[in-house]
Formats: sequence, C-alpha cells, structure tokens
Amino acid sequence: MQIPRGAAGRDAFAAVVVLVVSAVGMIKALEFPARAAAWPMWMWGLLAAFSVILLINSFRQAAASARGPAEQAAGSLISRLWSRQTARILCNVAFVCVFVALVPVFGFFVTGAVYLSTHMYFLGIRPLWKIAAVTFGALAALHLMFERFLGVLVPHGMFF
Amino acid sequence: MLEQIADAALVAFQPSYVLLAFLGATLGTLFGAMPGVSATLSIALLVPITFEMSATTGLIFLGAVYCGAIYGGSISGILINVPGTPAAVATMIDGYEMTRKGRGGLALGTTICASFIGGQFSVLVLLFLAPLVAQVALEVRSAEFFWIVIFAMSTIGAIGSGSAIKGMMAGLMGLVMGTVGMHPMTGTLRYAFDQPALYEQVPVIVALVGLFSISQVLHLAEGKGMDTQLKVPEVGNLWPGRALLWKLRTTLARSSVIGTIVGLIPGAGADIAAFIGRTEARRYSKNPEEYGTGSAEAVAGAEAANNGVVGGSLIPMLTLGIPGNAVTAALLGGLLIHGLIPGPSLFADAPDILYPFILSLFMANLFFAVVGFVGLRYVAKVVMVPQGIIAAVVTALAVIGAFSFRNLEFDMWIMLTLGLLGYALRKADFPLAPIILGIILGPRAEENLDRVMTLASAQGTTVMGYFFSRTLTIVLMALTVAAIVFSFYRDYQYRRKEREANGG
Repeated sequence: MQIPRGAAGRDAFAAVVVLVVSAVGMIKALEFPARAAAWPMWMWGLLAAFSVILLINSFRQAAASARGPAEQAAGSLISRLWSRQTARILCNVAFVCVFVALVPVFGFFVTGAVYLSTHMYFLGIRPLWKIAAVTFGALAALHLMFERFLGVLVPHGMFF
Repeated sequence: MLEQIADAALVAFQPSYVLLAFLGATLGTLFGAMPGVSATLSIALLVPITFEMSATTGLIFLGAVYCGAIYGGSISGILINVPGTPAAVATMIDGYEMTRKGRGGLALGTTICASFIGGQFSVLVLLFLAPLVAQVALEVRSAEFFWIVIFAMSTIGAIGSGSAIKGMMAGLMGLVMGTVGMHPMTGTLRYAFDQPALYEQVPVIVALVGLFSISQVLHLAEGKGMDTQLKVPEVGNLWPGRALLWKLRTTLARSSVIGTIVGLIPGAGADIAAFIGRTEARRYSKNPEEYGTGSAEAVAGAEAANNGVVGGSLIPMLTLGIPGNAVTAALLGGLLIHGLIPGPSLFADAPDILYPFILSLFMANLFFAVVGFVGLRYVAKVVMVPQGIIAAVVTALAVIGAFSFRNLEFDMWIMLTLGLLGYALRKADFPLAPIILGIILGPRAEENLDRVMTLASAQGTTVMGYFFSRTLTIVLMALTVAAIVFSFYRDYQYRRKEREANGG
C-alpha cells in the first residue's frame, strides 16, 4: 500500500484527525438525553463518513501517482516536516497567541504597541520609523474610533 | 409596497445616512483594494464599529462596505495582477493585460461602470423581489425550512469551488459547531466544557472574525519580501466613453442578470458569478479571440456579474434567513447583533429598517463609482501597503472585534482557536465559508427538526413519514439528493480529467 504524500498526505492526515474528533464527539453525545443527542449524532456520523471517503480517495490518489513517473526523493521525514517556512509559520502563530494571552493582563493598547511593532519587524517591515508610525497611527486611530467616537469597549489591563 | 419605499426614501436620503453610505463605500473600496483583504474580511473587521449604532445605521454602513469591497477587489488585480478579493480573479485576467498594454485607465473605468450597472440592477431586483419572496416564505413551515437549510448546505458542496467532499465536510464541521451550547428543547448543555461563554452557542461574529481574519493573517504572514514596494503603473483617462458603453450594453445586461441569479443560489458567490459572466460574454462575443489578451468586454462581463451578486445574495438572507455565501453570513451577523432575526417575517416586522437599507445600496453603488472615478489615484496607493502591515493591523482589529461583541475575554480565545483551525483547514484546501454557514444554519435546522419530531409524534407518524406527507418537502429532498449526486459526479469528473492529464 502506497503511503499518501504531498496533497494526498495532507488529505489523509486531515481525514484521520476529523475521524478521531468525530468519534470523540459521538462518544460525548451519548451522554446527552436522546432528543438532544439526535442531531449531533447525525452530524458527527456524516462527518465521519465523509472523512472515510476522503481517506480512501487520498490512498487511491497515492496509488495512482505511484504508477506515474517516480518522484524525486523529498529528503528525510524531519527535513520535510521542519523547514524555515514551518518555523516562520510557528513564529507567526506564537506572535498572535502571545498577543491574545497578554491583552487581558496589560490591556489592548500596551500589548498592541508591543505586538504591532515586533510582528511587523519580524515580517520584514523596514525602516523602523515606518513601524513606529504605523504602530502609533493604528493604535491612535483605534482608540479614537472605538473608545472616543463609538463608545465600544476595548480590553483594558493593568496599564491602559 | 410603493408607499413603504417612498417612506423609506425619506429616511435613507437623510444627510447622515448619505454620509454613512459614502463612508462605508469608501472604506469598502479601500479594504477590497488591499491584496488579501476580501469582502467577508472587510465586513468581519468593520462589524464592531456598528455595535453601538442603531440597526438602520449599522446596516446602511455594512451594506455600503459590501458594495465597495466587491468593486474594490478589482483595482489591485488590474494594476498589479494581485486580486484584492477572489471575486476579482476573472476581471484580472483581461484587466491586467490591458494595463500592460497601456490601457489600464480604460480597464479601471470599464470596471467602475460595469460594477455600478451590475450593482444597481441587482439592488433593483432585491427591492421588488424580496418582499414577494418573503410573502411566499411566510407559508414555509418547519419541515420545509429544515429541508431548505439542508438543501442550501448541500449546494455549497455541489457548487462551491474546490473539492465537493471537502466543501461538505466543512459544512458539517459548521453544523457540529452549531450544536455547541444549550439544546433549545431540553436545555441540555452540549460541548460547552463548563464555559459560560459557550452556553448560548459559538458567537457568530467571533467565529467569523476568527475564521476569516486570523487564518488570513497567518496566510499573509507566510510570504517573503513583505516590504516589497510595487510601482503602480500610470493608467491615464478612466472614462471609457459612451460609445464603448453602448457597445457593451448587451454584455452588461446579461452579466447583471447572471450575477443576480447566481447570488440567489446558496454557495455560489461573486467569484463564480464573475467567471460565468466572463464565459457567457465570450460565448456571445463577436471577438472571442481577444479574450485573455486585454478585452474590455471580458472585464465588463466579469465585473457586472461580480457586483450583480450583491442584491441577489441578500434575497435569501433577508427573506429566509439563509445566507448564500460568507459575505452575507457576515452581514447576517450584523443583523443579529441588532436584534433582527432574518426570515419571512422580517419584512413585516421591520420595514422601517429594511427598505432604507435596500435604498441605501443604490447610494453605495453610486458612491463607489464616484470614489473610483474621482479618487482612484489615492485608492491605488493602498495596493502598495505591504502585507506585513496588513497582517499585524488586521490582528489588532480582530482582537477588538472578538472582545467587544460581548466584552468577554474568553471570546478572544474562541476567535484564536477558530483562526488556527481555519488556517489548518486552508492549508488542507478546505473552504471556510461553509463552516460559518453551518454555524449559523445548524441551530435553525435543529430547532425546526425538533418541531417536526413533536408534530410527527402528535400525528402518530415517523419523522420521515411526516416529511413524505408534504409535497414541497419531497421536492426539496429530491433537490438535496440531486445536489449531492451532482457534487460527487463533479468530483469524479475532475479526478478523471486529472488522471488523463497525468497520462494515467
């Protein structure tokens, strides 16, 4: 049996994850009264069924590509999973997660200033005056628009 | 109805609403022109602005953003070959070729005129057709409504771009997310993990912001050379001239109709309408060989259909509460936060809000055209905003949007979780729009199914027996099956063509 790689591999991985989550969802639904469990059971069941179809398709796709011209060796598993691009994606995720985690502690404007300037720097925005101008301009505009003009509450923390 | 329209005109054309429509259309155009910022994302980011506004004010603003963003997406596509929205891809094919040949002004001017005509036609249809559909929809009962939702969800897989299986899986993911919270009949808490923030259900606005903003931020942040400054080419005179517009009249009319009809169909958004509009324009063209090499007719065909979707897509949303695509789902979120429940009774309950909203769309279409012709040289500058800046600022706006909806910190975590889920799904080529539609429509489908179960048990029959006793339900069930069969057939055909292309 050919192990799916590339796009087919992603499909297979997604199908397995969804299948597992569907199974957990169905088990959890068994705890509900029959009336409350009926709809989620159907939805999870259908989702699981489509996941199985996707999984089968990904294996069929892998088998079909194996019959085609041999692909170049893509390197070791670690090198395929870990690349500069993966590290970059994880860094971006970390930036956003840390921002969301710190907003309730330090408030939107303080955390926002740090977040905007560091993330823009990481993303390659130069020169520094441009980062400072965008950070100040964006936060000032958001403060004026939401807090002063529209009266929409923005998360505040220990500083501002 | 004419009396209501006349009353609404007095409201809609008040200076404050006119100014608001102008502001919305301008902001929508600017957001839409930024590469990577879609119409859905524009509305998701700007919904928080309307939290403290009245329902009429908020809707007029969001409607104008919708019209402006759909038009604005074409600007970056024509100027730098990077579509601002997915709907602008069909316009870009010939629009950018025209820019390369020094006819960028003509392409942009044709786009403005075609968007304006397509938009105005579809709003006219919306104005007169929606109240009639609402009257008919009043006769829809729980069994029919349940199957309308199921049919809508199944067409998303059948018609939407990409894999049908993935489209349906995304829809089902949305439907299971819609089960989070309290069951309406029994009060049982489901999948709430002891979090009071999840007792009601996954908040639509927060889900929308997470799925469309955070996933897009992470997508934008993947790129390299984020600060690369592109030079916007000189485009010259924008006005295409009366002679050209007269020559394009049939194409403009046909595409406006196509856009409006496509907008009515759940799952088929502006991107699909634009491609159909362009294809049909080519089919009837006297010069089909010019398509792809810089044809103004192709640009007009795509763009009139693209903006024609606006009015069409609002008809099922306002009359049945069924958003046909992600943008109308975002607008529906805007309606819900103002306590308006879209559905057949909305036109009877809130005509003083709906008619001014619809009339304001005429103004919005006019204003983006004015912004396009008068201020394009300034709007074009946003095309050059580096994606690194867009990504960071969108995150900040998303955090405010998620928090300020209910002033709950936990909502920011819901947004983040859904954002990361959305990003992972994008990586695996799953569409995101069906998820948001599932979150919105899931609870409504379940509520109606519950009612059917009660009615069926009162009549001493099974649920399926009850469904089969109603003609309209049988028709809807048959359409649902047809949509699912068509999706699988389409997937099969696609895979077969792929195999043939690979020589397998």
